[in-house]
Amino acid sequence: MTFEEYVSSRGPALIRLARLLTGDEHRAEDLVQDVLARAYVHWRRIARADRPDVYVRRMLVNANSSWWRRRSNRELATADFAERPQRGDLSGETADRDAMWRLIRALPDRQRAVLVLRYYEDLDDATIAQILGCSPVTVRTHAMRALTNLRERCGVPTTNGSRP
Amino acid sequence: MTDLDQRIVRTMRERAEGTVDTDRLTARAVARGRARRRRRRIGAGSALGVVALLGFVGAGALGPVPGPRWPGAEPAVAVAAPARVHGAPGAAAQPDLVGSDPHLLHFTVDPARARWLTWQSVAGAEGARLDLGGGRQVAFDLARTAAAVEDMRHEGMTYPAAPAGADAFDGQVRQVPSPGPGARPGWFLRWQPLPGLYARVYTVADDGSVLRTAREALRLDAVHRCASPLRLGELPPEARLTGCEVNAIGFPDSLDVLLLVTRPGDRWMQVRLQYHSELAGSRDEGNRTIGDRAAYLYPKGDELELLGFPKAHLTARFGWPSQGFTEADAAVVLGGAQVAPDLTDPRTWD
Repeated sequence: MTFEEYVSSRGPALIRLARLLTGDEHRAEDLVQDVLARAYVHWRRIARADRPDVYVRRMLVNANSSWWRRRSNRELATADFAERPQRGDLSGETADRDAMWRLIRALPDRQRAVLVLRYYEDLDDATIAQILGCSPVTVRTHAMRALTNLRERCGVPTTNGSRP
Repeated sequence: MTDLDQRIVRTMRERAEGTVDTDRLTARAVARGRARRRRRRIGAGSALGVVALLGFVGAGALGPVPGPRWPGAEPAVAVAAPARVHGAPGAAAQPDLVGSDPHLLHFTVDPARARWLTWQSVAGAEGARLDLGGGRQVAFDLARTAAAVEDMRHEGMTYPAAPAGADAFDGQVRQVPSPGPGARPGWFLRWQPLPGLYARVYTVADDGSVLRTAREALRLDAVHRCASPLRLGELPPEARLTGCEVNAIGFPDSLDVLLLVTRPGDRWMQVRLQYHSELAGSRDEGNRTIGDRAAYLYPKGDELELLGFPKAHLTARFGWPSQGFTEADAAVVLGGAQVAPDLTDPRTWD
């Protein structure tokens, strides 16, 4: 697979992943371009890897952590839910998603990355561990902490059956 | 799947969606990748030309630079570097000044051994990325606390998740695992140059030998300005400049300046000047006016760009993640911004 073929087929998915990791559309595009530019330089080696997409996504997650960590330390304060919306209430559902997004954004970056890779990318823990450069146990720990955090903020019972 | 799981999935799908211009993404990624490869080749091929390059820049914003000490060096491209402030005390004389002024860097490098690639003074710490020739680069950070050093990040470099404690500043070289399959490991050297000062050099390489070379090239007996082609002439009420980051790794092909404006209560705004020689298709028509110049407020309403800079973007971002600044504040900052007439000529800066 050439570099151009890879970007053509996987570029949109990388942008969407970056939108969730950064929470910022402009930053997402810049981050992906930066990562792809670095991947371009080493493309022959990356293309030879078993799973080039895992490699590039790992670059993306790491690049986001490197750039963002300094600033993310400053923005952890997030308001709790004031009210729970009712089902069938469209504006309420929108408000619910907005509130949920604020909570997800406020998670520490590794916890947020695990949730994004698990819930949006639908990856198993072993692959997430490869991308994050940690063990599957650590992935589950991050996930558990993230979900506990969200449940507490949302007022959801702590044992509601979510995958730990 | 539980109710919470479903809410997470729905939320993420909504936030991730949106059109992606694949052709543009591919074209820009290839262009940036080629430029990056070109810079790497230049870096490897002209390692011995570093000092001559510094000499090429001459006076003006860069201050006096010693002549080349490496024989056979030939000037190839212009190089940017922070200007020296003569007569000001460096970190060795006044360690308490480190990280206290975003306009200043309280350290210097031996120009015979290292070239500045980036420099920054922000949030209680100072740092730089340095080219030591032969494709060897290190990131250097200096602060009055170990935590402030560990909080420093250089774009494009990967750091361990857990910061080191003060006891790790012991002068030993330490290895960290590689950030990806087939990638090279990272190496840290942390030390205390003086009581109350913490320093760190970091590199990604096959071995950590360059770290000791870098340490020897660093000195704390001089001061440099955080030189850039962007100056903020006006700030909103209660706001002050607290950070300056300049990335000249791709100079003169590209340049990235980030100035941080903050207000009490940890509220901040990023003012950014990005230049790239291959940047094309800049926006002409704005939807706002600042003074007599066109400006563009991005659809999300959290970023304002002052238009009219060829191959460059001057923006102020005031939205998430930090609140506390408004479009009016951004207009004040951009309206008072002074940009050097030639971004590729450091002699016109400041």
